[in-house]
Amino acid sequence: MKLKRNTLSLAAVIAALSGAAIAGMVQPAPVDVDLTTRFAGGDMLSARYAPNKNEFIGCGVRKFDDGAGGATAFGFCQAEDAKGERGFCNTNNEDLLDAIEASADYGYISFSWDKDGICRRIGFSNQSFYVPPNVGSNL
Amino acid sequence: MLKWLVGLSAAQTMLLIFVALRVVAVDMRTDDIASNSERAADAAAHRPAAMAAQPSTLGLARGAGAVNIDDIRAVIREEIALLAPADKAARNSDSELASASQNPTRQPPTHQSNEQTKRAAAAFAQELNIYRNRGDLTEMQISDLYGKIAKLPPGAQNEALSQLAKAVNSGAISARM
Repeated sequence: MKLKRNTLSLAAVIAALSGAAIAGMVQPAPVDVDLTTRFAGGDMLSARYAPNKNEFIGCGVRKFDDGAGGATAFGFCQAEDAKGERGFCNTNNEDLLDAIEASADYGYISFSWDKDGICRRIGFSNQSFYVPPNVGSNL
Repeated sequence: MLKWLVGLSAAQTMLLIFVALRVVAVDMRTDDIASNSERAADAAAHRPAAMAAQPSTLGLARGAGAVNIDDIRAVIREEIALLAPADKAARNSDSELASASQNPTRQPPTHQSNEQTKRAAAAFAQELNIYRNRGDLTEMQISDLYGKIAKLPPGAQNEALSQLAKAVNSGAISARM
């Protein structure tokens, strides 16, 4: 009986230590869209696994051959939160397009727009606490 | 005695004839002087005030006596010389106006480009209206809209991007880009 109790305790300690070895700081950021300040932010992982059908956030770029050896590029950002409030903006600002193209697979996205729907700020933050747990470990 | 009287009569007659001839000559001379003075007065009236205040080199303004054809020619040359600078300025002004009307680059270029931008933006707005309240746009339709924007003049692109964003934010167009 004492051996069984000791065995169970040891197993519990090992399980706890195992969980701690693959843990790290996690900081989910659900998507939030503020139509008053025309700001949206959230991390893609939290949006992807949100317990609703509304949440999403992301940015993208489309480029079109201009027929003169170059291309015309447009960027956009969009987000919708759990309440169904939506923000969307376009940009053809080259520096903002560079920021969009520098984004990673997972991360926190924030953007703001003016009354004409033109993006005025785009931010990306690629942090470990945004990486999903099932990606795999190199430990 | 009679001989004396006849002689005196003849002399008196000769003297009268001489005086008459002299009177006629002076009268003709006076007419010439009067007509010349009138011509000189007309020429002085057309001269600019500043020049009229200056004494004429021909002395006509002072009412000099003898006037000949050379003097008149000189006056005419003076008047032509005075008119020449004003005429040159007028000709220069005319040539500037002519070159301005012939040079299309003098038209402000921004006027034409603003019109093109407005027309292009209005045409895109009509394209966008096709997709209003028609449910979710497909990726093809979204790409088609952006492709149309890419073909617009640079000034109209921002306006078109704004129209698209406003339509999406208002819910008039439903699309997941």
